[in-house]
Amino acid sequence: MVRREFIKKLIKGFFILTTSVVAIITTWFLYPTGIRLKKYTFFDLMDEEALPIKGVRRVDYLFKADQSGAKLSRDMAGVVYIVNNTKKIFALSPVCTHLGCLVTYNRHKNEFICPCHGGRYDTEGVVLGGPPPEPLTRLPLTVENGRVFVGFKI
Amino acid sequence: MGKVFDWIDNVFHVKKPHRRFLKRAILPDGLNYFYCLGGAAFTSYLLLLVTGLLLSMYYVPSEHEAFSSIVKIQREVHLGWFIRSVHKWSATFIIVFILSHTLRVFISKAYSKPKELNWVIGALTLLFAFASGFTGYLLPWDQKAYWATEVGTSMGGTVPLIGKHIVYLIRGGVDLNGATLIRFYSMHVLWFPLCMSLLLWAHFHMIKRQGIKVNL
Repeated sequence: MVRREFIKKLIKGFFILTTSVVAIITTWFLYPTGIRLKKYTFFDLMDEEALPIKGVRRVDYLFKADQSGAKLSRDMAGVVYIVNNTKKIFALSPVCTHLGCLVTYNRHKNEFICPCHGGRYDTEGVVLGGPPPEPLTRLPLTVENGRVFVGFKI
Repeated sequence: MGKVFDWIDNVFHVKKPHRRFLKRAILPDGLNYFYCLGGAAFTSYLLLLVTGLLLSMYYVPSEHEAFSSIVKIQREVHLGWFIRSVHKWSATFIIVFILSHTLRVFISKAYSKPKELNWVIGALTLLFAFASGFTGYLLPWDQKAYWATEVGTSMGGTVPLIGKHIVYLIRGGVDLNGATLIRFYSMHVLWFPLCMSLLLWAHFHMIKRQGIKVNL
């Protein structure tokens, strides 16, 4: 190979190498960090006996990080509504689908009412009025060995 | 690669009129490594351009989020610390290279007629480089950046008669605040790079037209 040809190839290779390195670094830099697809993790909520026979029951929970078996990095406390419509038992998240306020159950009206913008849901979680775009989120609920487990996305 | 370019060039016809420039022999005898300083400065400029484009993907030019976005770039973004370091060091080196390039031009009398306009363009580029450095220094929005800019902008106040108004103009208000940050950000990422790119194009165009002066 003539020297000129060799040097031409060398320079070409150098440019290709540089371009590839820059392309890889750029893509890696632009790729977002902290991507974690959230899956349901089941927590022992309460005894089977505590399930409502009919209607809505508010359950306050507190899951301790040190008793969660490494599922939690810190204590998790909150509210979940267990609904029994005589056909099915399911769990409703109290997070309003409008802007994320916590709805409360109004026993007299038999509705979930959001204190922030007056969003209203019936006991199935379906929107009755106000700004919410979607029904309340249903959380998966299972009963095993007499204990009630509810899945949370953490 | 060549085939793809030829396919495009069949329509565009850029190769033929530029052949004189692309295949010219501009390098006279008597060159040495000091004639690379301008090229080194331009390489720094390209590095600044590329890393700056990348950093602008994560930087938030707002009073409340600027500093935390810098922290995020440093700690969370993949290779963020690296890209930011390259930007910072290139910014330091471009000043060093431009100044030594200026010295080389001065020593080899390359500023003399007929290349005096290129000296003027080069001097303007240096001023824009200084201005970019000054505006870029504020963007991290930490204590050092804030007070450096506080001192730097208040120097404008020493101009007789209109000094006060110059300070207000630079700061975008009486005090240094979010308005100043946005102003400096816009200057740093839009106005100055645009102006510098045009100036550098003129700089190189004149070298192509007039050649390199060796006079040592």
